[in-house]
Amino acid sequence: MVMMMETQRIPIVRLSGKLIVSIQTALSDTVVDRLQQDVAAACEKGDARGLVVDVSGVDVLDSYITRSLRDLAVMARLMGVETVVCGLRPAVAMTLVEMGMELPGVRTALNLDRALALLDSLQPEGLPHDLAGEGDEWEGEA
Amino acid sequence: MNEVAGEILAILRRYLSEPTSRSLLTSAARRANVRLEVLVRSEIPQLVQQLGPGLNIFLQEPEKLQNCKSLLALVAVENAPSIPMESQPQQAESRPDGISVPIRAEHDVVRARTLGKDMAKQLGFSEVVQTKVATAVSELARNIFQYAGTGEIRIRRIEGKKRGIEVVARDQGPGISDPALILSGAYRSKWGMGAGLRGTKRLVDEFELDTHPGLGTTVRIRKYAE
Repeated sequence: MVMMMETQRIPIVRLSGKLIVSIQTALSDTVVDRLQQDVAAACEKGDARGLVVDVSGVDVLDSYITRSLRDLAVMARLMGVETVVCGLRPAVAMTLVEMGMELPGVRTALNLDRALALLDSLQPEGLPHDLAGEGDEWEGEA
Repeated sequence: MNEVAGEILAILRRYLSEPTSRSLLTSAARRANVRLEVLVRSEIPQLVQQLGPGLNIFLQEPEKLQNCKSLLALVAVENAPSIPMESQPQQAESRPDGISVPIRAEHDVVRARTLGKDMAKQLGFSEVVQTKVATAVSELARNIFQYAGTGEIRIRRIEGKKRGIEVVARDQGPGISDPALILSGAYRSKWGMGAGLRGTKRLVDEFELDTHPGLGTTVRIRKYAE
């Protein structure tokens, strides 16, 4: 294909104080990088308390994309927005474990429902409790 | 529809809905003068040839169209190596020894990955093995694009006692000056090549790295059905 299409954008949905990103497409590096920027911009608007990244539509997560998702979550947390990645397919999860890339420092949930519930259960941003979240036990591998 | 026709339908079903796939197949069979109830393997090439125009209409996304055509062409070539295909796909070239995907743009990384997964699926591999193959292909294709700029990914099936899939990634890039260091995990590149190559090695059953600084790199991996 000679003609280059405009970079695909993954929509960010706002729902009752949360940002929801549902990835339903094969991820190229450019699309992931763009998503990072878009999420950062959405976080900056300030009214979001949590971010859910649903990857149930993603059938392959390689090292670069995994790292980008992790960076995205860390970046959002630095901006005071907790992130939960949900919907990892079993085959994808097994592949990541085998590769030694277990999304260190990122909270995960089985599905969108549980991800939203998890966000609701978290303390409001900025409290010390938040910093010792369950995701942190993964840091050893990083 | 017999088992052989079912195989073709299964490929179409990956890209199109059930009714669309069936109607495409039926009309192609009519044009090719073959009957789906008693389809034999030697008739696959002529059937596949007739599928082309319909696919062009129904598969809007160029990437899916090419992948679908590549898979069909591969099946056609495998079933009748002596009959040349009229409608060769533009980018992913099918040949008796597999599919070759040129890597020239970032977009090709996604293409190679998708094709790797589709091929593993077609060979009847489990979802986990499909995903591992696709992930490995993605790592190798990205390395080509990031470090060498251009190169080629070749995917073929392995016949014999152990069924499997072989992927060869070849480029004429700068090469890797210290492969042992990279594979050991001591080296971390900005783009994560170390992680990519190490991860790939852990995902597959056989891993060969042949690299010459200034001349290029070839990585050959094999994954067998579990």
